[in-house]
Amino acid sequence: MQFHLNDFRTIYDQYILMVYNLALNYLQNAEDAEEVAQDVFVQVYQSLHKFRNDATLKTWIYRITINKSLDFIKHRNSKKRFFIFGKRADPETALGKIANFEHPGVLMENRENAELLFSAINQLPENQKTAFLLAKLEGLSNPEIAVVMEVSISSVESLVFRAKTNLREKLGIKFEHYRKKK
Amino acid sequence: MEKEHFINEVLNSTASLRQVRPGDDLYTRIEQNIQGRLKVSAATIWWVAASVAILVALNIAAFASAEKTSENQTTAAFAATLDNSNQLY
Repeated sequence: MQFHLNDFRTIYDQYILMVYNLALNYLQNAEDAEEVAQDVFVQVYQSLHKFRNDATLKTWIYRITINKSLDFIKHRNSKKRFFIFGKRADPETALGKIANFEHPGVLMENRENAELLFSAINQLPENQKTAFLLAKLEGLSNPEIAVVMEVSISSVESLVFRAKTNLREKLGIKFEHYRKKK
Repeated sequence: MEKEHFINEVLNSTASLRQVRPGDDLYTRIEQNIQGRLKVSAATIWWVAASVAILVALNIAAFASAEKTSENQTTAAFAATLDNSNQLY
């Protein structure tokens, strides 16, 4: 049983910024983020009748967005591997599009640093990346992240801590390169 | 010291991150996608129903034809046996 498009429009207006921005932080590409946002809302439309109130609508939509983003990344990486194998191209060239991501919501004076941060975030393991993005960029509290990720609060604390440690390590290496260049 | 400063600066570079709006046509695209899927699903149901009906009809026809052939072969074999056993010389 599908619900009316007018109700769907209300949900879209309420959550589009959250969905699009989370997808953008994950995928670091505006077109890909729009594609994922589209998939998210199509799924919301098709599955809303199955939605049970044991989670809030916001949490449920967060989960769909995270899953769709992760699926998209897996699909993109598998295509990239095929492309690299088929064309014998340089992997760095194929990764360049994401590595040089300039987030449109970052202040001009922070652009260069944000670019470095996003390229370091991309190297984090999947669950650390999710916990870090939700905590740092979405501004969710640890209990909220625990509900979205369906893990305990202590697991979230550990994931965010490990993510920050890993990022500091990776940025430390980048600093050495940066200093050598100067 | 300089390294720590650099790391902290990079980590805080998204502190004043503002939300970004997607393209204005996104909702229209989603709506078209949903309506397209609904149309496709109705058409798919009819295609599947028609395919199943054709498949069943073909199976019945093939079975009937096979049975008829087998009956003809049995009659022919019987007639041949009769011909052989009722020889006059």
